[in-house]
Amino acid sequence: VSPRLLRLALRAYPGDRRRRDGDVLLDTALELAADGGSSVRREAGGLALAGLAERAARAVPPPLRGAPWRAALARLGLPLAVANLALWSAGVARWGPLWPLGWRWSALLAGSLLALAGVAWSRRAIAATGAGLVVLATVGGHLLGLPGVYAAEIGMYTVGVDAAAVPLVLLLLAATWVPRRPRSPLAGLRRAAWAILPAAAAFAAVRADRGTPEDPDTLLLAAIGAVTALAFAAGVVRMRRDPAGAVAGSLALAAVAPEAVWIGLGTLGISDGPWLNLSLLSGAGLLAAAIVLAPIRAAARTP
Amino acid sequence: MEPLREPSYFALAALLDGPLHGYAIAQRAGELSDGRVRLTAGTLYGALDRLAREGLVEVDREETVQGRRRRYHRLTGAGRETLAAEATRLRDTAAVVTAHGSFRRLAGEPS
Repeated sequence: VSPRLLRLALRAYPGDRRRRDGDVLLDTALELAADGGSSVRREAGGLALAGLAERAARAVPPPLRGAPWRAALARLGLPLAVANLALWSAGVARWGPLWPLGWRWSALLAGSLLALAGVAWSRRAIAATGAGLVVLATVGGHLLGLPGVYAAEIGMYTVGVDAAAVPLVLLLLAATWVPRRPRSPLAGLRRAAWAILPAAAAFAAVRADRGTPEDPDTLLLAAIGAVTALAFAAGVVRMRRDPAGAVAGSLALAAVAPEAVWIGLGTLGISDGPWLNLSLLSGAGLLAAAIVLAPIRAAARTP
Repeated sequence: MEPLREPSYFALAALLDGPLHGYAIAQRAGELSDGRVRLTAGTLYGALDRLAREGLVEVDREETVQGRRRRYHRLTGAGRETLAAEATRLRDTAAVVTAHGSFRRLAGEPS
């Protein structure tokens, strides 16, 4: 077995680790590749990913390394997918030309549905593709200067690219790390059916009340904000017993904070210039708070 | 207590009979999981590093056999206790479903 590819993959590890453990890693990879149970390409991929993961872990400040990020994202997958679909459903009901939809709205709705289906069935590729499509159709399109739905100011993605990026990146991460659990088609369908209800309700409510611009979608956003705040509060209360829940609640709150503050300021009649920056800063502050809360993990891995 | 990830669980289980080197741990984990867990060297040593940081495994010795470096790991007392606790948790979790009357139908078994 040629070790060249494996040596190349080993470069992904930080230098000191490579010097200390490189021989052991390489020899183990060679043995596994040689016995037929694995392959050089698979072993090289494993080494490269593990090396990059180690570099990424080292880049994170030490207090944050132990936080249960993956478990938190796994918790957030379904709620984020549900909220995302509900928001875009409300958005299309308010601003969308219901027929023809146009590429951007089609991408948003199809992406949201795919993300939801992927999370409901625990199919990582489908969930990530859907979330990626939503990101492309919103932040990506906006960054590229494409006209269309983004300019129409929709839901939680209204304030700006910075604010939009947080919940969308969170959705993308949650979709990318959907736990791989085999789920029967029926169980997945049941999860997805319940999850579509908020979207159907949001669409119907906004559609029925297009004449009064503030009410239904503001109500929807307020509901999402309230649910998020409650989830955060519950997470803090249960932090000792359930650190992943606390991290999930903190991340969700930080993600919606800029919009929550923006809407709060809007109800006070303040909605310009510095106040926009204030709302973004407050979101950043809450994100920082979430990061401080995240590593708190009383549950040590000892019985 | 946080649940163990599946690769970590089977890596610990592989060490129940005594110290093993990386290649042997990967092989044994594959056998114990009926081939479901196929550890690459990168995944395996990532898991072993985490487990070592948490005090669940430790390095036993290093040897060079036929020009290949081999590092042996062994379970610590805490590792053995954690593995037992996780096995109990999994058994209790499974019992919620297997003890249910409709389990045979859920599992697709003939009634």
